[in-house]
Amino acid sequence: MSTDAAVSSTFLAEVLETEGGRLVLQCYQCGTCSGSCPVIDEMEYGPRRMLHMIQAGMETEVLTSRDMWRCVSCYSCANRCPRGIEITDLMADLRRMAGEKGYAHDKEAEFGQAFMQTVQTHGRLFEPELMVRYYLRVLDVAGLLKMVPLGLRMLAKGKLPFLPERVSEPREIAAMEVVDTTQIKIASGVSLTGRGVEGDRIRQRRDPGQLTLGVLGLIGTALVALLLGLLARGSPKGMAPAAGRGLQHFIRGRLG
Amino acid sequence: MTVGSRYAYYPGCSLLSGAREYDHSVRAVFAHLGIELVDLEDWSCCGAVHADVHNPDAAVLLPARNLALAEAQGLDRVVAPCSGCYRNLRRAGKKVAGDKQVRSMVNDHLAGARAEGHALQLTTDVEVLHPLYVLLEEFGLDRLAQEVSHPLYGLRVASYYGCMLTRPKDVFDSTERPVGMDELVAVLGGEVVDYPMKAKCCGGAMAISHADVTARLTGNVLVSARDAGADIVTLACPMCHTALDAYQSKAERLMGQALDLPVLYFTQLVGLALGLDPASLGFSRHLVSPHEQLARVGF
Repeated sequence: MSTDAAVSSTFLAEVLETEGGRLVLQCYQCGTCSGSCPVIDEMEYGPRRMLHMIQAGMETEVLTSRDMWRCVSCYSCANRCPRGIEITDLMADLRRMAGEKGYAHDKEAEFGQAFMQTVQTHGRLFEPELMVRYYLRVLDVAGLLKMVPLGLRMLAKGKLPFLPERVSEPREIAAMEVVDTTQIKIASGVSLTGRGVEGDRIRQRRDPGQLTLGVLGLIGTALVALLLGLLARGSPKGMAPAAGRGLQHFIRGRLG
Repeated sequence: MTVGSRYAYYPGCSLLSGAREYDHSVRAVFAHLGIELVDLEDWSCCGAVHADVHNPDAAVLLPARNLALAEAQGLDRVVAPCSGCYRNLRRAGKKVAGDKQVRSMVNDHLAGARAEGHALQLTTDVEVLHPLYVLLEEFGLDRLAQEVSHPLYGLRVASYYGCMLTRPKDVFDSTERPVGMDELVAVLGGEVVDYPMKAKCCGGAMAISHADVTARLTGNVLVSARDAGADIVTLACPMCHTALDAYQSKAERLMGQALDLPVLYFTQLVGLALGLDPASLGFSRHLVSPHEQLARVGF
């Protein structure tokens, strides 16, 4: 179909350029997506209205919405869409656009950043470092405390590793530009984006209080990462795992 | 499939930490059946659901690097037991196979990442399979039935498919009412429990950032299985396992009812039915203990 006449906004044009969003103009508002969504109660608009808002070029409303950050990537909507719109992939594209334009402030956005930074460091995931990075980014003390009992139980079952697994050359992963290194996000207050949709657009949002906390958080993360790195490299073979088993035994005893 | 089939084995990050019992049971079952798994050397993270949020190319590059490793080891099929890894690797493999531009993008990046002459390249087509589909489609349930020495008689099993094992649509099973794991359970001698939520999402993706969402979605799945009369739940994904097992106590508090439903990887059930030593299958690693249910049916 011809889209030229219908593409009335830059935002809509940008969405049509993405892999998940190329068919958004096909949506005829049947609502199968929102009816299939397991997290529709968590959303402000739901996928059907989000699609309509994209068609109408409502950039700010769409990109400041929490909806794409609540998407659980279950592919129920995309699987059932009678127009073949890849709605789940579109949600990931909207997450990326929100990040590039400085609108990404959801805790899930911070989790994604922490995840990719951890993977960039080791080439693989290392859960304890991911948790440290995440909780330093969101500074969510209540949330952290709520996770402690479960964390201890998982530790007692040997479900949390003590040392990172690494690929032989983690820089190879970084060299593949997996993480956009020009994007520096500090806590949730500041977002400096050097590579926006239009190439070099830079948007900044600052909040001095959060900036201080964020810098402290980054320093803390760096120290922990350094410590973990030293542990991984410096410890004699077998010593750190043995210490891990001892700690595990201790916690199991405490939990009875 | 002929005896002696070889597959590259991509465990993924979870199978080396939270889901080691899945790793051990996949290896034990496949070794028992004569299916050779060759460890992929120096594998890296598949990117989970986060890579494409940062850079759409990364969502292809991260998995594709692992496919290139398989090629370097002379293998053209990869087994990935985590549903998320399986979906990412399989999707990347299809994109590379179907689009020359994607393939050159991948190879350009791989060429630039290592010193000249040592770079990985992806020139062949590598197929990615989930171990469930290796058993169902390549090994075959008829042959598996002949290997069952300790049938799971009397165990009512609810198979949980989650999302990425069957979605987006692929060739192996229905996206709405999948049956593959149920057919496997029946061959193992277990009693198949059908229930409405078997292919609904557990919310595992939000487990840290929005734990209440995970607890609610997981609670809905577990209550549905419990109401249908299940003794245990079986599944094929470490993310789903974390939600259904580790978050079960959170779900119980939220739903206001006791669930006490042990959650086992399908390979642990296969291992039991094949007569493998239960001690080697990792049943003590779950937060909801399966020992009582297993003892009830003679294990």
